[in-house]
Amino acid sequence: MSRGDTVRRRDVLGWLAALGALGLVPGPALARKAGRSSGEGKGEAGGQGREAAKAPWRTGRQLVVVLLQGGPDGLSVAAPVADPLYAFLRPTTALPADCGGLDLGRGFMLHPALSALAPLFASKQLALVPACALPGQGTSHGPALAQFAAGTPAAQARRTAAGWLGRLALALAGERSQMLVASQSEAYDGAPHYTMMAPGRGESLPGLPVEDQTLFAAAGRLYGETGGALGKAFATGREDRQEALAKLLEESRRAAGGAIPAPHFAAFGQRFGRELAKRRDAALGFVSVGGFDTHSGQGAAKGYLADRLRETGQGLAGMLAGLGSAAEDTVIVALGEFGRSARENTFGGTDNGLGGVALVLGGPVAGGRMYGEWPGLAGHRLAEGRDVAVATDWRDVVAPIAVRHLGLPEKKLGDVFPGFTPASSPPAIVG
Amino acid sequence: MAGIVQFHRAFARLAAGILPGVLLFCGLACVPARAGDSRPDPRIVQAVNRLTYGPGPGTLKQVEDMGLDAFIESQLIPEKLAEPPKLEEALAALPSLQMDTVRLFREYGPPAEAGREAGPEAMRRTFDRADVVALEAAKARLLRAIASPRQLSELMTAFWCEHFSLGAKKGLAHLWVGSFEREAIRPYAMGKFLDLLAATAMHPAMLIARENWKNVVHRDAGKAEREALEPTYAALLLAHHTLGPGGPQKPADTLALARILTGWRVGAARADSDTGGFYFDVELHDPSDKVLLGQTVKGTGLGEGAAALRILAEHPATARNLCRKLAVYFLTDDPPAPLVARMAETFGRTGGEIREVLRTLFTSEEFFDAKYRGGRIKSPLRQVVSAVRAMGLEPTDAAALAGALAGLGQPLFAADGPEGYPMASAQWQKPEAMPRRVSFAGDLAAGRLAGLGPAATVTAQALAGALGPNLSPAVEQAAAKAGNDGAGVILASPDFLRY
Repeated sequence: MSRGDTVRRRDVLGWLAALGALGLVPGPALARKAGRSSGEGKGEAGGQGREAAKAPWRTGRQLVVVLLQGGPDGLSVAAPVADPLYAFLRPTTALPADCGGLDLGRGFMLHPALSALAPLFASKQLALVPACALPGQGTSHGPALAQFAAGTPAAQARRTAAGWLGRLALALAGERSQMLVASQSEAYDGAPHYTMMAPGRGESLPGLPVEDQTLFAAAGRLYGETGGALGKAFATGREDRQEALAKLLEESRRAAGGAIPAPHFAAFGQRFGRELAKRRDAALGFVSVGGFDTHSGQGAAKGYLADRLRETGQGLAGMLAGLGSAAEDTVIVALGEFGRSARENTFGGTDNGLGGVALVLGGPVAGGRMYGEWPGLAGHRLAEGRDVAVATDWRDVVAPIAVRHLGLPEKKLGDVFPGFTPASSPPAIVG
Repeated sequence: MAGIVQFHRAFARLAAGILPGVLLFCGLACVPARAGDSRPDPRIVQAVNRLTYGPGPGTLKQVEDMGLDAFIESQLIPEKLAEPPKLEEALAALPSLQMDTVRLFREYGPPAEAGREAGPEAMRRTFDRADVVALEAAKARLLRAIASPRQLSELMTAFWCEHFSLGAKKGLAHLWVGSFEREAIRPYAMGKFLDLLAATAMHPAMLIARENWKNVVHRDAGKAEREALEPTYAALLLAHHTLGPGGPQKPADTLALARILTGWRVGAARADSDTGGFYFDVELHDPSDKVLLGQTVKGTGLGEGAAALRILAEHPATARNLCRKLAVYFLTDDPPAPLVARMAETFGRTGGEIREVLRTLFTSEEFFDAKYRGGRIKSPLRQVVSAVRAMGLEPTDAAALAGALAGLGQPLFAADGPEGYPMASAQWQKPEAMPRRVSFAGDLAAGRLAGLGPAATVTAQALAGALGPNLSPAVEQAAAKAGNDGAGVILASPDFLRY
C-alpha cells in the first residue's frame, strides 16, 4: 500500500492527465492541492509523512455513500408485508406477500426487483435499517439535501459549514485525505482532495407514469356532456388535479438533478467499484443515484419504482463485484435524503415523507438481518399522522462504521456531526 | 297482547307482499315471451339501486323474476336470507370478529399488571393493536356490504353506525368499533329503535368515545357530595341520536339527562344487570329526582336511564328526526314532508319498529317517483361497494378496498363530528373528490387493487349488462371506444356515480 502511495504522489500530475482521458477529472480542491504540491516538492512529502503517523485512518478501509436521491420508498424496499395495515395504507402500491421477494425476517420482505441483492443478504453482506432518517429534518428535497450534506438538521442555520463527508475526510487523514466521487454534492464540501469520476453517457431517467390519462380524457367528455353541478365539480377538480400533478412531475424531475439516473447507475456501479478497488488511498467514496421521487404511478411488485430498484440493485451488486477482493475492506451505505409517506397518494404514488430505509453492504458488514427499531404503521405511530416515524438516525448507522471500520477516534465524531449525540446502543452493523 | 296484535298485522302485510310476487312469477312462467323483454321496469331499477349497494351481474333479472314486492319484502326480512359460504370463509379469516367487547379487552387491551396502571408504552402497544382490530372491523363491513344478500340490512347497519358514530379515534373505543357494530348496531338495525338506543347507550365503546363514563356524582352516606358531570353524551343523545338539532330540548334537559346517566361505567360486572363491559355504580350516581322534557324521572338508579331513553325514543320529535334522515338516506336530500309524516306516523304507531318505517317508505308512491331516479350521488362507500358488486368480484381480503375508501375521504369508523358521515348526497360532490373517484375506478378496473381475487378484471360489456338501464347509451359508446379502459370508463362515469 505505502509503495503505491509513493508512486502515485510522485507522478501526481501525469496521473491526473491520464485520468482525464479515463473520465476521471480532479475536483477543484484536488487541482489546487496538486498545483501546490508540485511546487513544494520534498517538503510536502515530509510533512505528509508526519501527518500519516498520526492519521487515524486504517489505510485501505473504505466507506462509500450512495445517496438515493429523491427519497426512496422504504415500505417498498423493505416491505412490512406481515403488517395488516400495510395493504390498507397502500391500496395499489403495497407489495403482495406472495410476490417472490426475499424474506428479511421480522415480517419484512425485500422488493423482488432487488433480487441482485438477495444473495448478499444470504451471505450476510447486506443489512437493512428501516424507519431511518435524520430526526428533525424536513421533507422538501432542497432543504433535506442540505441537511443530509451538513449531517445535521440545523443545516439552514449553518449554511457555510462544510459537508459531513468533507469533515470526515479531514478527521480521518487530514490534508492528504483522498476521496472518489461520481456526483456533485455539498456533502463533501471542505474535503481537501477529491477525484471526480465522470459517469459518462448512459441511459436517462424516464418520466413518472400517469396511469389514468386516457380514463380522464374519456371521463372528461362524459362529465362535460352531463353538465350541471356534477359536471362543474368534475371540471374544477380535474383542472386542480392536472395542476397538482404537473407540479409533482416537475418536482420529481428536479429531485433527480445532479444525480446519476438509476438506469445508468445499473451499469456504472461496477465501473465505480473497479475504480474504488484501484483507489485504496481513498477512505471515502460518494455517488448519488436519481429516480426515487415517485409521486405518481409508483407501481408495486412491477412498475416504475420496481424498475428503478432493479437498476439500483444491479448497480450496488455491481459495485461490490467491481471492488472484487477490496470489497472485504469496503462498506457501502445507501440511503435517501428521506423516505416517503406511509399512505399512498391519489396519483398511485407516494409523497415525500420522513422515515426511509438504509442499506448497508460489504464484506465487513454483519448482515443477513434488519437492524434498528420498527415503529410500525399504526396511526398514532406515524409522524404527523402520515409518515413512517424516524426510529434510527442515519448518523447512528454511519458513525459506528466511521469509528470501528475506518478508525475515526470516537471523540472526533462531534467534528463530523456537530451537535449529534449518538444513541446509547446504535446498530452494530460493522463489528 | 300488543305483541300478538302486532304479529297479526305483520303477518298480513307479509302475505300481501309475497302473494303478488308469487303471482307475478307464475305470470312470467306462463308467458315466456315477456321474460325476454328488453329493459327492466324502472321501479325495479329504483328498488335495486336504493335497497342494495347496487346491482351485480344478474341482479336486475333476478329481481324482475321474483317481482318488486317480493324483493322488497325479502329485504325487509333479512334473517331468512342465508349468507354465502365464501363470505363466511372470508369473515372467518378475521379473528377479532369472533370476540366480544370483554374478550377484545382481554386479548388486545393493556396487560393487567398486578395492582398497577398500565404504563404509556403498554397503552401505545394497545393502540397499535386497536388499529389492526379496527381495520378488521372495516374489512368485515366491506366484505358483507359486497357479498351479503341481506343488502338492506347492511345499508341500515351503515346508517346506524354513522348515526351513532363514535367520532374520531379515542382510546379504547377504537378497539371496540367492531364489537360496537356487532353488539349494539347489527342486532337492532331493523328492529325497535328503543332497543338500538339502549344498546348503544350502554356499550363501553360509546361510554368511552362520548365520555359518559366520566359523568359521575360522588356520593357520601347516600347523598350527592361532589359533582363531576360530563354532559357531552347527554347533549349528543338529545341533539343527534333522538330529538334532533331542531328538537324541543332546553339546556336544562341536557343537564337532567346527564344526571340521569351518572354512574354508567366501563368494567367488570358487579350485578346481574351489568353486561358486556358495562356496569352501574350506584355510588357514583346522582340519586335525586329529575325532570326531563317536562316529565318527572324518579331517582331509582339504573332504571332512570331506561325510563329516560324510553321518553326520548317515544317522543314525536325523535320520530320526525329519524324518519327524515332515513328518507334522505334512501330517497332524496329534500324528502317530501307528507312522506316523512307518514313514516313518522308508522314509527309512533309501531313503537319505533324500524322495519315498518322502512316498509312505509318503500311502498310509498314517492319512493318510485321518476324525478328521484338517478338523483343521488354515491358516497365513497357506496361507490366502492357498488363497483366491486357490479364487477361481480368476490374479495377475499378488503384491506386495499378499506384503504381506497380512506383515500376517497370516507375511512370507516373514523368520521369526525357528532353524526358520522353525512347522509345528504350533495356533500359528496366536492370538486377535489371527483378526480379521486375517477382514479379509483381506473385502479379497480385495471386490477391494481389487491385482495379482489385472481381475475379481478371485467369487460365493459359484462359491466354494462349488470348495470342495465343505469347506463346511458353515451357511456356505453364511450366505453366501447376506450377499448381496454372500457370498464374503467363505465365505473368512472357520471351515470355510475349517480343512482
